[in-house]
Amino acid sequence: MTSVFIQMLYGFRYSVSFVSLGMFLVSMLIIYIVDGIGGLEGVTEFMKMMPDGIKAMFKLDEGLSSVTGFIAVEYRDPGYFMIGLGFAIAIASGLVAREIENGTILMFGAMPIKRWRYLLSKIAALVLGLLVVVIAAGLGTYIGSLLTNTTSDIDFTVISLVLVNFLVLTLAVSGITAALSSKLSSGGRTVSIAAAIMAVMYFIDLLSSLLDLISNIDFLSLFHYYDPGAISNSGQLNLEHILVLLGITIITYGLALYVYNKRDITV
Amino acid sequence: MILLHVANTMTAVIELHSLTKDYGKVKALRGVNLCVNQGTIFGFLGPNGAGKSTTIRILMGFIKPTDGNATIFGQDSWHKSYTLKSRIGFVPDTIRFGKSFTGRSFLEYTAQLRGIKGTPMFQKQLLDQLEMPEQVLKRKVHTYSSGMAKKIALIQAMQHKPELMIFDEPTEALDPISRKTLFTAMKELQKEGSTILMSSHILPDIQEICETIALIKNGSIQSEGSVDQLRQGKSRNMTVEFKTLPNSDPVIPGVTLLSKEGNIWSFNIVDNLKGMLQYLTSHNIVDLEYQKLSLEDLFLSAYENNSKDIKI
Repeated sequence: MTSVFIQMLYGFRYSVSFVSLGMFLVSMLIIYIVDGIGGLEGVTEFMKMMPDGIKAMFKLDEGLSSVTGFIAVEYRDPGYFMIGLGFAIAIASGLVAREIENGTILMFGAMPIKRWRYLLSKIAALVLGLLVVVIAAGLGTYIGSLLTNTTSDIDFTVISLVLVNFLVLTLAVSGITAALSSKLSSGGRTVSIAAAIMAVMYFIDLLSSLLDLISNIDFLSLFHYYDPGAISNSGQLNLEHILVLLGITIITYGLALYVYNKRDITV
Repeated sequence: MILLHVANTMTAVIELHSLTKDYGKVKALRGVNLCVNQGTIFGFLGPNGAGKSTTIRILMGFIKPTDGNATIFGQDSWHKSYTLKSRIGFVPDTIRFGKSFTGRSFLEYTAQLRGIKGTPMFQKQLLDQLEMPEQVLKRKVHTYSSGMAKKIALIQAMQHKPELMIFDEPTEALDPISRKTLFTAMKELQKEGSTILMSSHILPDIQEICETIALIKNGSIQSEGSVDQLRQGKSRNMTVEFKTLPNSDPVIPGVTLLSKEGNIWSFNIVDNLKGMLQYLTSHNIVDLEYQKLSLEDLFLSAYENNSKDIKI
């Protein structure tokens, strides 16, 4: 349903604009940091100075002694996660739960549209919103490099692949949140649970390189499948990682549609 | 939307058969049976938590019954919800639109979702009658007063002249003029063959507009019928001031003499007003006062006494 899709986009136009601006500015800031610490030489020095434990924790191996590598691993910065994934969680939580909480579902649920089609239209708008946010991050990197004359130091193919990996990560996060949103009737609860799941996953991934016990369950974390450093090293996407994240996205969105189709709507 | 013009036929539009809904241990509906015929304005009465909104939400396909079934136009309200909604106009008890809509964009959006191209003529008429000028429609809906929000919700539900309208508390927050206008519009649609089911706490509204009424309590229907039918079997008091006192106490079936204070006698009458009037015509009386039994009295007697004595 085009009307629902357009209305959903219109409804979160300000959120998309502000989040995109945030991603754009953070990406530009990273370029300015690279420039500030002395370009390629500075980045190499910086990497040498960093303790091995920290490098392992943030997946910054020795191969990252390039400007592109430095920028790529910065895409694992918690700031990016908070903005990008926070946006995915906030919007996905509104797909069903917040509509029930607000009571708007009684008005729009009375329209002659199949429930799954209504939700699918909203999901399509959300996916487009996430795409815009990720493109804004890439644009920030590119424009930042133009302004600092570092364009030649950066491999934008690698940066694009990192952003593709980041996009499918945000999709998987939004899918999990959408499934929760379809089941729950409170937007706040949906956000809390989704954020808690992501925090646990983030720390599993963060500590997996330091603790053997956790390294065995690292595969359970979505962040395990997001590795900009490896993309920078190999110059290509890890297809297995992409497929896992896309698989989670499809399954969780499918679950969201199924649950919403079957559930009682009690406002 | 083409309306079916089937006047004076008693085709059932809504049928509820042993409709039951449990929320865990809470029984919201306990085997509700109900039939709403085409072309009627049907009132659904009950106190808070009686099961009105649960019934309405089952009809709208928002919730699935635990047992029994609800059909609209002969189709299951849960399984055929999508198909049925194109024939229904709905106003929920809680009116929420979302913050991004103006009055105009909300009406356009809901019309689009219904597959209506352009502005329906009846929408223009309703906007005019309910005094919603273009300046008001340009404003964000969340800035509207509750009365204005109700008007917009009613217009979106009626603009396509649906065959069935389900209104949950439609007159709440409406001013008396808008209320009258709404009733006129409802009557107009009824004449064209539409059926209307409305729930309300405002008993005079139900009494004024509804031909048939169902009283629901604790998840089951207590009684159903017209106000006159509901009055049957209910006792009413009459006070008579005699010019000349009767020689003996009246012996009339259904009439009980309650008290005598000089020449002022009080009677209780059950279903035999005619017999009482015949008795009075044979006596010289100065004045009389007969208790008017309003829907409110019936409602209160049904709910306050915890009784099931209203039988049709």
